[in-house]
Amino acid sequence: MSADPLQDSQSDEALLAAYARGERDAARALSRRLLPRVLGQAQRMLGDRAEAEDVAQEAMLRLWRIAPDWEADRAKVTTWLYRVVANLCTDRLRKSGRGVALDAVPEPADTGPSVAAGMQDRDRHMALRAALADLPERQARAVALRHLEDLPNPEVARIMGESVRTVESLVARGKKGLIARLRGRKAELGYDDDR
Amino acid sequence: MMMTDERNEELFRAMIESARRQAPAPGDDLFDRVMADADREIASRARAVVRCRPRRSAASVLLAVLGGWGAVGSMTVAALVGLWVGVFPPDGLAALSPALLGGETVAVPLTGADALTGLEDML
Repeated sequence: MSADPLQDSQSDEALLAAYARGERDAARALSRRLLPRVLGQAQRMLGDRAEAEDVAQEAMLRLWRIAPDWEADRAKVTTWLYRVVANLCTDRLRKSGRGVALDAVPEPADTGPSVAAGMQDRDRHMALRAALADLPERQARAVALRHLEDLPNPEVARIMGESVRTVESLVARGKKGLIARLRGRKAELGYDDDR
Repeated sequence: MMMTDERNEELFRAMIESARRQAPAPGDDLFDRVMADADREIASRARAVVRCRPRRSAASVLLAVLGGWGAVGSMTVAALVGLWVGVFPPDGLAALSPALLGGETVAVPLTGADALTGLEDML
């Protein structure tokens, strides 16, 4: 994955146009730039590496397919990708119901303090996934984009195609819904130990 | 009530922070899969373009070889002018012919029965 300074200086949109003309190196530069972000977003929403990789690959495939029809005045490529990944993830959450069972997620072989902390993170993440899966889809997307991706409300509004006011409402209701679903599992998730 | 809200907020923050610590780097395997998809899309678009291209008739291929309608038009005009000059030679041409044909004046009618007789004389 060697870097190309010329391509790295180009915008995502310019690289996508170059890819649409058949330039393979443009796809390589775009993948190098966007894939970590796409995979990270999917991992944070799903908490499962294999599923996150599937979503990341699917999102990038959709990007390759839309490249010839991409309009220059359309939203930024990153905005479009945030939306696609959020939609793919909420689809998966809905289909998996309460989410992946904790037992299905492999545990690390080592058992040091950092491993214990890692397991606690994993358990909390799975609980968050289950709670997100239980929320209405728009609320789940809004909360994930606002809090997991740390995006400002106007950016979340652009991604979701909603007004800022609507996003504020979705985020507030989603957060309240998550807390209501997680509150009963504090001890199980080691939350009291942190205090 | 205020205390409960604060503790709920802390719970929410703790859960979000656990998830945010997940920032995996894509491995080579995923990168290769994504690039394979990109390559496949380029190839399938190229195939679609070939399929959409209409088949060309023999006449259109000949036309392209000759240089298109512009070139064919020029050739037609040149042929017609040549024919016209042959049938109705301009006055000056009669004086020019001896110089070109080694001093002999040869009349070759382009119409009429004795056209070949003129050619025999020339040879």
